Amino acid sequence: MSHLTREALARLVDEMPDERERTHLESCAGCRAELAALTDQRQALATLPDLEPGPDAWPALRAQLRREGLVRERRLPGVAAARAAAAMVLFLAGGAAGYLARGPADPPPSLETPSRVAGGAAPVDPAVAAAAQGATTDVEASASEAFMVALDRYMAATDAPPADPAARLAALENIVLTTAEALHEAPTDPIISSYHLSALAQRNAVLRQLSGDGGPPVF
Amino acid sequence: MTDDELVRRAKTGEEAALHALYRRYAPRVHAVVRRLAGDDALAEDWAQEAWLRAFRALPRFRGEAAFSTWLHRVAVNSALQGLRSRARHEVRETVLPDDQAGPPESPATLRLTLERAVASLPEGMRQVLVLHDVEGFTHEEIGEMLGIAAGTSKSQLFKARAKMRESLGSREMATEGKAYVASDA
Repeated sequence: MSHLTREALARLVDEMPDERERTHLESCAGCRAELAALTDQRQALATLPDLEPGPDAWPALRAQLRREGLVRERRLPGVAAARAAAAMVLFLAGGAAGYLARGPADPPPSLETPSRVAGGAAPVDPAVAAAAQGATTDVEASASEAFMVALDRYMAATDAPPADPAARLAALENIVLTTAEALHEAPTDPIISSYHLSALAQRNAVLRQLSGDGGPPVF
Repeated sequence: MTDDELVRRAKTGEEAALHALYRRYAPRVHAVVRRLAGDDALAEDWAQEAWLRAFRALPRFRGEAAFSTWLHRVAVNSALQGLRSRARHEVRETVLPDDQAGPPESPATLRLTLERAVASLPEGMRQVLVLHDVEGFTHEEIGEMLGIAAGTSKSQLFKARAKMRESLGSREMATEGKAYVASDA
């Protein structure tokens, strides 16, 4: 008896046998077993799992994306930008935390763009105006991006119940983190340092208030 | 977050969105590229090239197909282009190290055996087998991708299956309760 070839059996994984092949398969256990094995092999291939790339793959890809300018980086380019960003972050965050502390009865703080803030169309913190004054176009762009980050955080914070002390604390934690990032950019900058220390003090005051130590009202 | 939202943000160059898309689909991309390449080092390079192509082309992606489908096709095309380029150079065959194997007859060991058998196939057979049996492309699609007739794709597939079966030899592969049993057809 002449067996079916492996290639013929491999075809029968997908296709119906012709009359000669069907007759042979009915009488040949060996060919039936081989066809079954090929069918199992086909199924096993179809269910092979995905494969994890090496741990260096993303860093290498990210570096190339940055070289090609395909990634919009959030890193601040310089001290002036860091000052401006920190000033605006504090301006916004002060309003956000105040809003959270006061509750919804009071109007929310102004959420103006940096140019409008600097232009005096909204209540202006002197530090904001000072930081924004003389800023270059690049600095303004970076500050605008930082502004958007702060705005995102503000919006996330205000989703929580205004009287929720945990949300208030979370908002202040965000401010501390943001000023810490700005300080990382310019570790010796006195203005940013003062902003950061101020944010820390306010955060600690809320912590004391929450822990029942009392103390002066925040903002 | 949905693919659509991530893609929208990634189009603006937002690194977090690009990274999220990468994390979501990197194993899928690496798998198809690795199996087509038959070589770990090449797979790393070609997978990166696939991602670069995808991210460069992202602004032109209009969402007419699912992002995952589009990306998969980009990855396959990238690997096939790499193979065409490599054809001009010495063919490197992969020897997967033994220390990747798990205990005898463990699912990991069986998968590794299958991967080795795939990697050991001649390049033309491997391409068709991976594209058809692993990735699920039709012979018409494969013919278009490889520039061959659909009938040639079929012929290569059957040869590849037979050769793979032969290379697995008499090794019994208990997979999900089934066993590959050697026979002399």
